[in-house]
Amino acid sequence: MKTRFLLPHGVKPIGWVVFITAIIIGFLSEFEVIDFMDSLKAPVFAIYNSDLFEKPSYFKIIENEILDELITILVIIGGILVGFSKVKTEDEFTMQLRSESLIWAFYVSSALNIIITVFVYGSAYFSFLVYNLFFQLIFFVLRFHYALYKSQKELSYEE
Amino acid sequence: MKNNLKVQRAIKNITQAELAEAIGVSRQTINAMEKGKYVPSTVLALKLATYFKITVETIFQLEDTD
Repeated sequence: MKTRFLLPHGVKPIGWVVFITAIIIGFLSEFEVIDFMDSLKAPVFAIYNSDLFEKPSYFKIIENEILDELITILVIIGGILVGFSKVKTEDEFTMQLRSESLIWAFYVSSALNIIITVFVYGSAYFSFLVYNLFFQLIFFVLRFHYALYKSQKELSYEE
Repeated sequence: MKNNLKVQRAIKNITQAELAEAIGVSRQTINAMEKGKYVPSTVLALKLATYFKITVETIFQLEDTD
């Protein structure tokens, strides 16, 4: 059957490796389990840069630690490769599971957003907003693969 | 919507896997339909009817809740 907007099945394993590796490194670096500080300093082109106590600048090359940028991009791309590549037995049913998981993930991360807004204050609020950037994708990938696993498992009870 | 896919399959004496293969969907999809957990698209319903050489209404029937 025709499926729109989906990537080929072959990119899925690559997606898993990128997605999981990036999440693990991101976790280790964010919670300072391993100190990656200044390991990847590089000049970047900043359309807009604003630091505390400094005048914001526009369209300037600045020096920046790019590990967090790399991790962000890799988690997003990895998650998309995993969640939006065709599964081995792609058909309209798996497409429905995918769509439902996407809606579910949107609700959950939106609910989380509201909870964070109401209960978390100060600079931690912005950290949580950044985490939530990934939560939607992570929730979607987990929920979708759980749904696939469940439909697969139900088969074993059949004749 | 309810269906008697399982009955039709029994009449023809084929497994879920064989039907899935013939129609070009996964076994999970056949299983989900038989359990009433998935309502197929018109295309898939027509494919099933063509495969069993019966009308769509013979396999799928509306329920009061539909």
